[in-house]
Amino acid sequence: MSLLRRSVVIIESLCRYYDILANDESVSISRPGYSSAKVSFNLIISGEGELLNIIDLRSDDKKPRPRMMDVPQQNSRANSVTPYFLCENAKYVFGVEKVKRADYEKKYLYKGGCVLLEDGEKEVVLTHPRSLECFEEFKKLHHSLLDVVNNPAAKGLLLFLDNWNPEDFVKNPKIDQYKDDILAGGNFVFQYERDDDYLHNSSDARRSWEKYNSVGSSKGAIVGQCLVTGESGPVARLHQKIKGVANAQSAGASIVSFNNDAFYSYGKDQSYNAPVGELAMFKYTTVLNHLLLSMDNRIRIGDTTTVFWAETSDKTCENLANFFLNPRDASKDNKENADENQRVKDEKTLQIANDVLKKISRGHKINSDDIKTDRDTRFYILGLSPNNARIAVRFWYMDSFGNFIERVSRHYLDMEIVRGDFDFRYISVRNLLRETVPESSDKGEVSPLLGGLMMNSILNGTAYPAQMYNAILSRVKVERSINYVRAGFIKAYLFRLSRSGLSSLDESLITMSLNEESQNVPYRLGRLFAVLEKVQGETNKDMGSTINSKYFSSASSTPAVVFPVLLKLAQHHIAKSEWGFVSNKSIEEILSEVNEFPEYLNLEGQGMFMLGYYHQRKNFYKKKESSSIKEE
Amino acid sequence: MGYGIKLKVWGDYACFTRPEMKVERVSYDVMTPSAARGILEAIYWKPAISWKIDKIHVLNKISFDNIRRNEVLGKIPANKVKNAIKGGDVSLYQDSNDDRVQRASLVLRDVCYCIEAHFEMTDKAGPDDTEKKHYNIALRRMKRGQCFHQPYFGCREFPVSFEFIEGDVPDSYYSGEKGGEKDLGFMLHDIDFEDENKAVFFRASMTDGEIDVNKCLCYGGLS
Repeated sequence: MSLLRRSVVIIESLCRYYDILANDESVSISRPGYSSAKVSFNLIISGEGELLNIIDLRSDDKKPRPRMMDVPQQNSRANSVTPYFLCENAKYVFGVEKVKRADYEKKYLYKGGCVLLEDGEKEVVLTHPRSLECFEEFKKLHHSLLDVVNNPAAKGLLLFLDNWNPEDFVKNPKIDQYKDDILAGGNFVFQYERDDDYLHNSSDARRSWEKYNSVGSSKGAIVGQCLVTGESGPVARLHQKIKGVANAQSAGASIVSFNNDAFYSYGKDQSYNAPVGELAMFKYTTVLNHLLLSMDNRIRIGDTTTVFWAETSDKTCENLANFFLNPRDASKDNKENADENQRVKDEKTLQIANDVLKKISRGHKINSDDIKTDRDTRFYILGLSPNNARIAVRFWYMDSFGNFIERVSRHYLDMEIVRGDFDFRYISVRNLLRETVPESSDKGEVSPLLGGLMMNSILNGTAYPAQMYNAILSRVKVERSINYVRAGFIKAYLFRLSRSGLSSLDESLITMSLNEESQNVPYRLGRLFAVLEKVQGETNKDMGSTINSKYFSSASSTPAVVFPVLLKLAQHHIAKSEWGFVSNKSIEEILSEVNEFPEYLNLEGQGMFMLGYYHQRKNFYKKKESSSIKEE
Repeated sequence: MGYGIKLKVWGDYACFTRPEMKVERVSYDVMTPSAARGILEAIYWKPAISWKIDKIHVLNKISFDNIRRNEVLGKIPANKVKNAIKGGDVSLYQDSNDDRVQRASLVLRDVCYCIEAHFEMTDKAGPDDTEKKHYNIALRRMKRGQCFHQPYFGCREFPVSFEFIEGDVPDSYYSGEKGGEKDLGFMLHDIDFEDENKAVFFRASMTDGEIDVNKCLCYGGLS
């Protein structure tokens, strides 16, 4: 427990995780002064400054994706002309730009200095004063950094830039091949014809960059106390953009940003409102971008992009956490398409998860042996969701890894309910949230608040959000169908409610499968409804409307109005049915504990009704199976 | 320090915004000393005295909630106000319909603290200002529930209820087995108004629900 006494500051824990990753040989994470960027093409330059070849670095998927590379740091540049070192796009490298025809007519046509290079119907390729300025700045930066470097690769690049005329862009045969892709905004890196590696990886270029960077950042900087480390030093004016948060702007968004007057306090500008040291800024943005890129550390819950990490370099934590937050049934789900390695890993993780659940259901505490990793490792979950150019923190959780596993296991145990053969044992929060969305909804968007609320109650082990319960109940009523996910949640909700003493329901009444002893009236009525539905189904095989489609919603909320009618109807069906006496018996048995039909069921009662209905229906199928086996 | 006071403060919501996340707000885990000072100043303050926060007791469990609020984008510029004072013809208003932004906040729920504080006399104190006098005024106002303006927990929307405590501080959620020392990281201590409104941070640490501000300050980390 002593570990947990440490701080819970979001940015500080990200910085600590950066230090762990930076010390881990097997992880590639950018060092200070570098950042990762999406790169599309590699330009091969000769010693004489000629563009020899263009190599496509993108993946060969249906939709080619650029490759991530560690390049000299690219600070966010908003609207200013700020070239990046050795990794840039067409506007800076070639001085040309492609714009939409409408934009061209609006912005450039009547201004001087534009040269139209290619005139398309929808888009035009042109150079304009600003793109030329970009190119010139790019050239200037590289001269200032590479003039001192005495090697042929640097000389070649500088010669290329000196000789390049932006107006020759379309005439160049090498460029022609990839012209559209080049202008789409991807980045280029450079390589000297006789080198095996990219120019930005060469030791000369790196040395020159690091020198420039260390001088550049401290120049004119405001010094203050860093609120992450507590040390005094230069304060970062702009923070690097965070990329990979779903629905945020594609260029990235910021956690720390001040883009309006109302956000300033005490006469301070921009990020000086929140003094974060340069190094701390670099660490937290780099590691957060790293986490957001990694499939093993990221899941989506509703509209919230969630990253999680354990403060260790041991991968077991990550695998297990990934499984618990985003469970897959290894045996069913990815038998075919996953590779062998992945499957073995999944099965191993599934085994650990099953053992953990078994142990917790017996009321034991888990220890480090059970989860094959240190129980006291600190574990963090950070839920982010975008709000235009900014990122909001939806939830923030930190605890020991063992506690986290126990809490989440508790959730799965509470959710557990009798289910069909093809249903998954573990339901991810994402799938659970999807059950609240109408089938007819095009976008399938979950209410933005539910995800955060659900995660909060799972991680803190508290009662589930009532909003979620209401949403599920109304889905069941409207769609008149209850699957194991919905039934599971209703059960879990009622269970936690009664366990925390917030409900008059007795904990023992809420069971995993059919409880014939339960005398809870709404539960019995739910069972009765299932029986009545079956009776009707047995008599008339092909009906347009059933009692389910007509009466489900009203039966679950106002039983006194509906059930007398239904029972009368049922007598007709039973009279006609061959096995009517069996149904009659079960109706009698169920009604034996019901003295009168309640006028009205509250939300808890409605949940119990649906649970009874679900259990009873599942029970029919089970009986059928076992009896058919007997007959054989 | 004979004239210390203990004040219990509570409310449904609180947001002690972290400066690094003050746009899409994220609250600190507990009340900052400057927020506590703000509460006391709302109840009683005169130029002759300055409140010093000694201890903050966290009585309720720390729990968070997510909300979204409509807030405004801009401010009425100070220059405009100056101009208006000089009799210029300017319109001093903000139209919240044009100037609106939705901001998410991670705020605290159901907070309850006990503030232990004392005041010191400043150099603005005249011959009539005695400690005893100001202490008794403050005491009377706290007991009667009087305030200059409604004290609030970090944002005006989160009002504070307060009560003067005569005897011991009530038990905290964090006393007993849930207690022990808990590091809360760097937290805003206050703004240094003498030195270009510089923000000053301190390493906050909570022991059994009690934050001893002076002790934390001694541990360093203060610039």
